[in-house]
Amino acid sequence: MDPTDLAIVLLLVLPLDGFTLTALVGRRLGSRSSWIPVGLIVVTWAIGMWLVWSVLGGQPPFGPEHAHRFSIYTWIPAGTFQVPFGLAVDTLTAALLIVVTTVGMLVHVYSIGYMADDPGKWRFFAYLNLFMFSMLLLVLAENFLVMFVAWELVGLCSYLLIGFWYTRHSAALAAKKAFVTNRVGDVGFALGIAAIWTAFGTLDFGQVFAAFPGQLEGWQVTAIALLIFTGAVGKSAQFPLHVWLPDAMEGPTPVSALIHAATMVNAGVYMVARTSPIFAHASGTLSLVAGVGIFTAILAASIAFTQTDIKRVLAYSTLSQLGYMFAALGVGAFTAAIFHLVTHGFFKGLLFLGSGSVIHAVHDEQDMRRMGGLARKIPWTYATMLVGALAIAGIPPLAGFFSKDEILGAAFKAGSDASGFYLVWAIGFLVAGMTAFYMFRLMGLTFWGESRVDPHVAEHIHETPWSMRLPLVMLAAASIVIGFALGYPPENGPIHQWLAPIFEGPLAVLGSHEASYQFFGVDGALAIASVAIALLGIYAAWRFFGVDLWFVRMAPHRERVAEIVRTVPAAAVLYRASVNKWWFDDLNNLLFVVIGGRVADGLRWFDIQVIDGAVNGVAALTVRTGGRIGRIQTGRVQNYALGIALGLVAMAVGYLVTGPR
Amino acid sequence: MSITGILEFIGRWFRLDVFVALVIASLLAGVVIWIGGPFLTLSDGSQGVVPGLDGYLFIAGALFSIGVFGFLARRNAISMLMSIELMVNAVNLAIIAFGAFIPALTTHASVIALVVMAVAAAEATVGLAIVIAIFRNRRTPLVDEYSAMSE
Amino acid sequence: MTLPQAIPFLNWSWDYFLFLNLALVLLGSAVMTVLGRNIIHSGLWMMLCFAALAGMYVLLQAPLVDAAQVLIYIGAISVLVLFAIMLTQTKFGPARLIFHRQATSAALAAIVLAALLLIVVVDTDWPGQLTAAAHTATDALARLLFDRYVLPFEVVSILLLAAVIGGVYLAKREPDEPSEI
Repeated sequence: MDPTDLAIVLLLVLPLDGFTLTALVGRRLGSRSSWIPVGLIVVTWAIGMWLVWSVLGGQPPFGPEHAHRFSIYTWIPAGTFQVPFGLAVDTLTAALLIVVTTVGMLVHVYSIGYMADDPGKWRFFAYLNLFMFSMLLLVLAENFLVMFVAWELVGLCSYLLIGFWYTRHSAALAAKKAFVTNRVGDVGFALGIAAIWTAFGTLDFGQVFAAFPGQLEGWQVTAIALLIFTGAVGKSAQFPLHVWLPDAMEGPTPVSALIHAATMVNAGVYMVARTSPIFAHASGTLSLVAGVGIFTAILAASIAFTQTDIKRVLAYSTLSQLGYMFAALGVGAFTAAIFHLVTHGFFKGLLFLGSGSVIHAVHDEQDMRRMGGLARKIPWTYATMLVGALAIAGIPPLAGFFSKDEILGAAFKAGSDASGFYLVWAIGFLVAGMTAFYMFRLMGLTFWGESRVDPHVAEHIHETPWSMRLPLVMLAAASIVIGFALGYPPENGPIHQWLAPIFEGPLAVLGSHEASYQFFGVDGALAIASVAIALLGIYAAWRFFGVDLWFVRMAPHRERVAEIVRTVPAAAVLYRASVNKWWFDDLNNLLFVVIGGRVADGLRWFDIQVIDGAVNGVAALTVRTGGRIGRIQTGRVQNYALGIALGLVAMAVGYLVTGPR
Repeated sequence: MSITGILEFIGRWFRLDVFVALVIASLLAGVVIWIGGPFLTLSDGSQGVVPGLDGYLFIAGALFSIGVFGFLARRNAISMLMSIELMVNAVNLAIIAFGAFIPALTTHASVIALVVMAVAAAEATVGLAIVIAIFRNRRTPLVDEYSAMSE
Repeated sequence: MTLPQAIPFLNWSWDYFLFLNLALVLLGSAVMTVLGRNIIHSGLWMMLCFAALAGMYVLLQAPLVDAAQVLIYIGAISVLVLFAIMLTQTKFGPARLIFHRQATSAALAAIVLAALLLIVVVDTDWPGQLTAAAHTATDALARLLFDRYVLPFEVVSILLLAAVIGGVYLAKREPDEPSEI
């Protein structure tokens, strides 16, 4: 086998072996159970990076088109339904590989320290390796069915990892909620795949994209695109299937970092980008994608304003940034979406791991109202989290600035094609400010101001061990440089050159024109505007929640917040809505649990009374009829004699009436 | 004299229900004789009307039916046996009647009737003996309380 | 004064008049037998029925059978029945104890049966005959009985023997039973 093919297969096989080995012998290894999985993931990372370098450098067999596809074996040979186990690596895959393998490896290393005291450690690493396998399979898939299998596997791993501490009732419920909500989206995805196969007879990406749209009518194309999009909505937690992501924070923090920030939730974005040739023909659906994305962004940002659990704030932040990515896809800026996916993976992973470090330091306290003033006590965590917060707020020259600004720029410029996109830009602009505000609110509540930590815990606050600090540092470094490295010059940086050939076709179909970047024109103005609103958000957060940098110092005015909320009616309403997560969980509960429960009760009544009643009724009828007929047998001869006499009489009468024969 | 007066007068000497039954029965019989007469009798010229074969057979049939009713309706075992005797006698009457009116069968009918009589006697004997034996066990001659067969 | 040949005005022969009387007595006593509440009365009515039947046999010119009827039925069987009644005495009770619940259906069946038989009898063309009754000669009867029908005759005698033995055995009291019966 070609060494490149072997490498690609190894990418899949190594994590899978890690899962199998750890699952089988992990318990016996005890505290050493982390060596095998982590070691295998490091090797996987190395192979992944080598593959990325090969693809981007145009090495054979990738060649000038920077892509290589092959199939291991024919997975389903069923007459007309042939599905090979196809894998492919192209530059889009390479971009994802960078994020998945790097963040995955760092999370594995981090988990050694984080899960050190947990007796179920071997299970954790086994699941993590299984997850890596599933995610890599999803990214490497070359046809819809393999991707769908990986899709489901990723959902399964998410369920297993969210409910890792399964003895906790809330964790079990959250895992179930995640899986069920995912499933709702998966139904749409499966229907879309079925529709594609019905229309084209093949599930291979290359063949489908080449044949699209073929003989299909407009509404059929839109239907397929919509169905596929519902899968993305479920997996990437967009409205209305967003309800599972905040509850998924019940899982351990490394899980939140890996799955719900850097990799799994990005699967939806990747899938839409991968199937962009299909979406390009359904521009109405793309507008819907943009609308859903940006609506989720502002919805999540508004809820993040009032959350008190540090991980919940980050979860809503993830929802919001995912919304940005879908908005980018919707306006046709596919490259910008992938770029933001990469940068977001790094700084959100950093933020989550950092929050895990904080939680570890204050002994599993997650409520920010009982934190504060930790800046001096855990300096490394503080510094790296500050880097992450600046990155997500979009302050240059950190990573978030480049990718977020590109999205907003694309939205603004797409507004000239369809004025609705101006609204997308406007909302995105607002959300940028909101993001800065709530991130620095988090920083203020956690690290600055006076300490509200429980005194017993306060004595034992200590910095995390190096196994946890090293990933934080590395991710911080990446957050600082990766935006510049990949995205400069704007709209013509390395990542754009890598991804341009992939999105060339869809962009041509959409008919969007590539205007060159005008630093001193529209683009420059937009860049300055977004930085300005980010700074405004940061300043507002500082005002209310205090700041304690070495060059700026401000006391918190938290009581002002409460006062505003109390007095201004609009603020009060917004505050209550935000705290209650805009009542979506209650709505779902009402619709599905209460009403659905009543429907189920009604059906159960029907089943018991009518269906079982009919069956039992037949049985009862038989028994009763038999009982009544049985009374003929009295055992008395005279009764039988009467029967004989009556029978004789009847026969004779009949004979006489009908005449002799 | 109103009807109630007559009835009251009669009621002093006879049982009224029996009297009424007798009146009805005789009226019924009169009707039967009047209507059935031509069917069941023979005109014998100067001798007047003479009962024919049909008449005797009709009597036998009626007696048989009465026996059937008694057999099916009575609860006492011995009453059942008496009804059986009535039925056998009806059959005997029919046989003798055939013998009387069909010359070829005359003596044969008598022989058959004698045999039937003997068999009926034997059967009555054994039946009554059985009833007595059962009565010893169950202390009742009522057949519907002999319920060992109904399980 | 001699009796006229036939009853005037109705044109009934005396035979017919006698026949009617006997028939009425016969049927009436049969009805009283099956309807009687007191079972001893029932038995007595049965004896009267047999007597009327004997009169019928006279009309049918069968003297031997007639004599046998009187001897066997009235003399033996009726007495037997009366003895059995006395041995199985029950209290005189209401109709509920005398008749079954099925008595009404039985009555219906009996009436329909009678009607059927009547229709059949009247409808049928009986072969031969239909003149006045013929006389049965006793010596012819005897010749037949011991010549052609000797086998049935012997079998009947064995049957009677078996019946006697069986009856005695069945009705016999067990040795150690209380002598109530």
